[in-house]
Amino acid sequence: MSFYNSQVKTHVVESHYHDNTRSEIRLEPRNWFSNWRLANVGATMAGINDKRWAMTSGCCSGIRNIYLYDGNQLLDQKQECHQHVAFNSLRQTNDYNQDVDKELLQTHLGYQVLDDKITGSHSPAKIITNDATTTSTGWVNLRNVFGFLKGMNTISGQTFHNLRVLIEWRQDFINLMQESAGLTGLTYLKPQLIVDENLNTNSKTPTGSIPYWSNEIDRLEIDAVAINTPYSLKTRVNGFNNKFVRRMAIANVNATLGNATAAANTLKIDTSYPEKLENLQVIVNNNRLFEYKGIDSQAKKLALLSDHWGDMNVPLGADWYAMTNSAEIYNANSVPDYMKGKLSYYGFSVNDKLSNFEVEYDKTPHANRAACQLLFMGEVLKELTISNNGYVISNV
Amino acid sequence: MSYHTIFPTAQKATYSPTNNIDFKLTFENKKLKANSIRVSGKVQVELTTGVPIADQVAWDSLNGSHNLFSEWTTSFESSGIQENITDYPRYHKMKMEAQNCQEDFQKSSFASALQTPSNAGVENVFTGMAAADYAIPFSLKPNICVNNMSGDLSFNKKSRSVYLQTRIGSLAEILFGQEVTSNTIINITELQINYETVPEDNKDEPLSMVVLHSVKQVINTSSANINSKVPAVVVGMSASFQLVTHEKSMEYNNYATEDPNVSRLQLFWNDMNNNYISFPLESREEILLNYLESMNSRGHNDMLWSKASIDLGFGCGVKFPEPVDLRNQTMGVQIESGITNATPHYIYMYFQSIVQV
Amino acid sequence: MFKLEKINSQNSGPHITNDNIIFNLDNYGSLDLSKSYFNIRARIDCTATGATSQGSAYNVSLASLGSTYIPYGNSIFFKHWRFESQKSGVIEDIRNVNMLKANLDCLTRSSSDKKSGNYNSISQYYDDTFSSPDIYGTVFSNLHRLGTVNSSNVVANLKMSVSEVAGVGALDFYDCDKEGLTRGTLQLDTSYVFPVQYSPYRASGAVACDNYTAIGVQALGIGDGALVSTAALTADQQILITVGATVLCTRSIDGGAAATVAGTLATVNAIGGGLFDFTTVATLGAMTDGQVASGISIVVGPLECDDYTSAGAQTLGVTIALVTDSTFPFNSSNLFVGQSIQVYRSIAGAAIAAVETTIASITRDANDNLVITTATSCGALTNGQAVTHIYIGTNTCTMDLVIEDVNLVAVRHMSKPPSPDSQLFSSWNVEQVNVPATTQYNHLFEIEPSTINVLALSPTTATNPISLVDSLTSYRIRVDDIDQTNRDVEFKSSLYYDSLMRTFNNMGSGYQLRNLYPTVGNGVEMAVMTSPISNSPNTQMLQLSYNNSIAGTAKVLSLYKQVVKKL
Repeated sequence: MSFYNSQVKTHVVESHYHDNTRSEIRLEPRNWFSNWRLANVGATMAGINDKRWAMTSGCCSGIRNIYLYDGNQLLDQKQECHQHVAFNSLRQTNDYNQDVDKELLQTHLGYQVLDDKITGSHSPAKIITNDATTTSTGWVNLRNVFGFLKGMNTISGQTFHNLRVLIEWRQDFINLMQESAGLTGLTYLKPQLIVDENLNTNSKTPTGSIPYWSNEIDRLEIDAVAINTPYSLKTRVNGFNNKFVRRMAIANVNATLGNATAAANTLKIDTSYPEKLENLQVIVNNNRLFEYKGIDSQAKKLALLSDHWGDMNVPLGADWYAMTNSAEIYNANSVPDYMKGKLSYYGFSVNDKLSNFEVEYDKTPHANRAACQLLFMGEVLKELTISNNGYVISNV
Repeated sequence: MSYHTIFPTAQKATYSPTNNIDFKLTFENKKLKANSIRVSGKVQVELTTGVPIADQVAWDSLNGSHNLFSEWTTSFESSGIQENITDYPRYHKMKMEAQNCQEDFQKSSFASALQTPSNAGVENVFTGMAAADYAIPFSLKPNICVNNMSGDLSFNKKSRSVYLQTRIGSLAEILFGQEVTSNTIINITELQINYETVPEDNKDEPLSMVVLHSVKQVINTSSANINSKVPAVVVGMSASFQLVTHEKSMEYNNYATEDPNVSRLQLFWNDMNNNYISFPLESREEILLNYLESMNSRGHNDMLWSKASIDLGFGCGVKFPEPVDLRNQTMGVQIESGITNATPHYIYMYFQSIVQV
Repeated sequence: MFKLEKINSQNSGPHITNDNIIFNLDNYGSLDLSKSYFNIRARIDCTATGATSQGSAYNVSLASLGSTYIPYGNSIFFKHWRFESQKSGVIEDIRNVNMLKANLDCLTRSSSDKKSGNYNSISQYYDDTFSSPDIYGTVFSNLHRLGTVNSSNVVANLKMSVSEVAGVGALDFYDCDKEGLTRGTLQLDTSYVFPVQYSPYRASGAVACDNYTAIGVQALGIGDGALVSTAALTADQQILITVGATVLCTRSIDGGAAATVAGTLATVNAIGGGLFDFTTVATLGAMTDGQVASGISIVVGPLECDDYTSAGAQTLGVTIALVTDSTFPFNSSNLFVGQSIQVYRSIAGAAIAAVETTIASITRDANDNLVITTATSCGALTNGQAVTHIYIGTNTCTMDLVIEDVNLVAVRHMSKPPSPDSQLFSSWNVEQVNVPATTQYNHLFEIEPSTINVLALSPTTATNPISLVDSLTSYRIRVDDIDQTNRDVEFKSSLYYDSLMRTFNNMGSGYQLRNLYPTVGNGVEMAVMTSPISNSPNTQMLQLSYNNSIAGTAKVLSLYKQVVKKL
């Protein structure tokens, strides 16, 4: 019935190195359960007080890349971690976002219905202050970040001698906040790793092959497009060649949107924008994945995402490129009112080893669009093979 | 995995209320991926041609675009009709109300089907994304037997082609509100079915589907005894009510789950002495408790007292502790309620059965 | 295959606080306690006060002192639970189980979970009484907000799963044959809740406004403190007058004809003692030297009243047309058929005493406005008189919560499945200590063998079971001289949440942490000190130390210990 017994001991491990660009936490070669948690994730601000993390990525807004190493061997990674966290936050239930992750991950998602209108969640957003004793700190379940940790129960010190977690922090501070007027700088707090040690000396990572899913990314640059001007792009995406990809998600990231200081409740970078007359066709190993035109409507885009990645916590209209009138659906100036037209990801299953991956992307924007990126987030199958001589990590 | 798109066998540019529509799914040497069938298209609702909805026109918000399709029939080329659901949006509404509270509607599978938590905001859905662009895309997963399967459906070994027939509801079935008239327009365009297949693995494993049987009767007395028989072995029954004069009235929501003020309910099947519930249900709370179980509610529901006070948000039913064969016996429902000869009500009963394919 | 059977308590109700409610289970067959539940039949008896007309129902619910809403479930009604059998003796005995479960409810039920329990629970999901959806009806009343059927106060059937109070509630197989005669005892406790009435308005007299005298050429401005209520709210009343409500200033100036000027409330401030003062967005019209305003009244949304004009000898008939602020029924008013109301009018400048009546019907007209008819006429008019405004107040009542009865709906196996050799379940023991008001405190507790988790709760008052944060800043737990964390756990730090998560992950499938922002209203948060405990066959000693930012209040500290038991 219970997990904790005399064979389990919890450790809080401080960062061994920390500055405002990177932090590193090292573990001694012991047997560790894989339920690692990152704590004290937060920051203080210079000069001003009372800002809020980006709504979808919460306290992970500041994490550009995070790596899991054993010595110099890369075991797993999450580049553009904040984008992944944003996407995965949306995959939680409304309950979980509103009542749990508001406190843990410090996102600002989840909705209520008051007087028949959709409005933001009941609990206030977490505040970042200019004081380390009052600023809010987040908690991150690293099993949701590293597929490597999900693949096994215990990570043995006999096999992995120099485990370390490396975090690279973002420096584009104005993109991290919902509202950034007056922000001149951020100082990241020193994160901690909370791990449970398995004191059972007979326990170790078994020999053999252990598959796990790792998230990798690639990008396409999209040119600026004027209002009502048809745009078309057909190109290869090479970042997943010779890899087995289970699922793919694609975000339309407006890279320059966050450069200007912006009003409260702005989603900025950690989001995905819909476009008018948007169409996506995917070609996998020279075969068109979708019949007919491809994914040619917002509803089909959202439905396919839902079918393959699970339900996303979004209100109606979040994936619409515009909404004529929202006064009866949303409370004015509430979080969902700001969300509309900003949460539209592509998502589908591939379940194939890619030798050639192409996309055909079309849009005719309803407003002038600055240059942006399509960010491809793919689940790639990796394999950890452990033998008596050590281990090898390979793509399947 | 393959993604497919098919159009109605009699494809048109625009579909209107009361149109009958047929689809044929053919996936030779493949298996239909379980629960992957979607109906997609665009819907445009206008007061009259070129005049957008301003106010007082709605559809049942918990149903969204599911309101458009009033009937579904599923057939297999190999074995004929599998399921015929009449008043489909009503059952879907019951399911939404029994399994979700209003906050649960903030999710993508509902948003893509244009489902919202409240009727009050539906006119904002109809006015869509931009002025004069009122054709709103939708994609819904109909709650039919082929979307309630335990595994993938083999073309070669099980079904051969799958035929889906649906009917677009009438204006008065779909819409309600003070501004709804016979001139109100509903147009559906780009109607299609999207589904997924996986390669045939030649395994002929048992496959089960949840199949619905619907029965509609009239109650016009305060103490009513209803007996029903369906050609199936059933695992549960769920029912909702509607004042007869509210049916297809344009003024009232045709899919409202109205409360006829039931004061006592008793359900009978098999040997009455071995009845599952050995006592009558005499409170709204107990009736709803069993109803929510029959609808496989997982803890969330929308049966609020604020709805009860305007005689909405009600149902009755039971989840049988073991399958009951209603092919050769009836199920009895004894209801004492506020129904009178002057206020007759329909009772819509939906029996859930599990069928092996 | 199984069936539901209703088992009555040995001592029938009605029951009062501290009554022991006893259930005897026969010694045959087997039960599935995990699906069984208690049915609590409760009602709120209402007696009208102050007015002669009595409606058929009052919109009543329960509230909790120290909270603006009830965040916990029906288990609040039971203080102690005991379960004993002929064979095993006392199987479990959980003391102060309602305090434990109330706090666990706050952490294990999300906002949507609470909302979904609305139909058979006293718990509320709204952290704002002014907008509480309970004003549209609760489990204690069968309200009809449309139509002609009279509303009534009813007996509520509140469902409480056996697992909500009992550890044995996790057992899907309880062998009655083997255990012999079994007795379950619940001790009733209604001290944490009390009945309240939801009213759309206050009675006119309670917000009657001071006359306003201006000197010189004055704008009849309503500034701070110029508009003050003269009668205080009582404990069972609530003010629903909010910013944005319409103010009607009816004045006869220089003794002449009355004029009514409408304005909008800009601020509503509680000034203590149950009194309020108000300001308006704009002035309510100019006056000249010496003029006096004769009366000011407040008309509260969502109902705004049309002016009503009649000509000729008229009886101010039973129909009052009222305009709602929404065209769809879900946003309708919280008036209901059979409600006792007072109708206030001023006719041709003179205020008329309130007429008491009840609502006979509520319907909608072609424009979706609500049309309310009253059971009796609201008074006669003479030729040429005009009604300048109408508004509605409701009558007050005294209320009594009555627990009529409690029965057990047991799920019995029709044919008994094979009996396992033994079964594990978790139960709770509690150890309580009085703690003084202090900034630092520590205490040594004894931890029984097989304890897997501890929860330390410290409610600040005897009337609110929720363990509030009070002034807690940090705590530390040490078991047999080994610190469970290598630093103090600061309240709301990520280590605090990690401790909570570890504790609940260790509790088993019946307890899932689903709410990390539980409040009791107005943002007042709860705080629990938790830790998983290494499951040991030996007794252990636990030292709990905590720090407060200020000395705070003296209170009772309760350490609940989750213990694995074998049946």
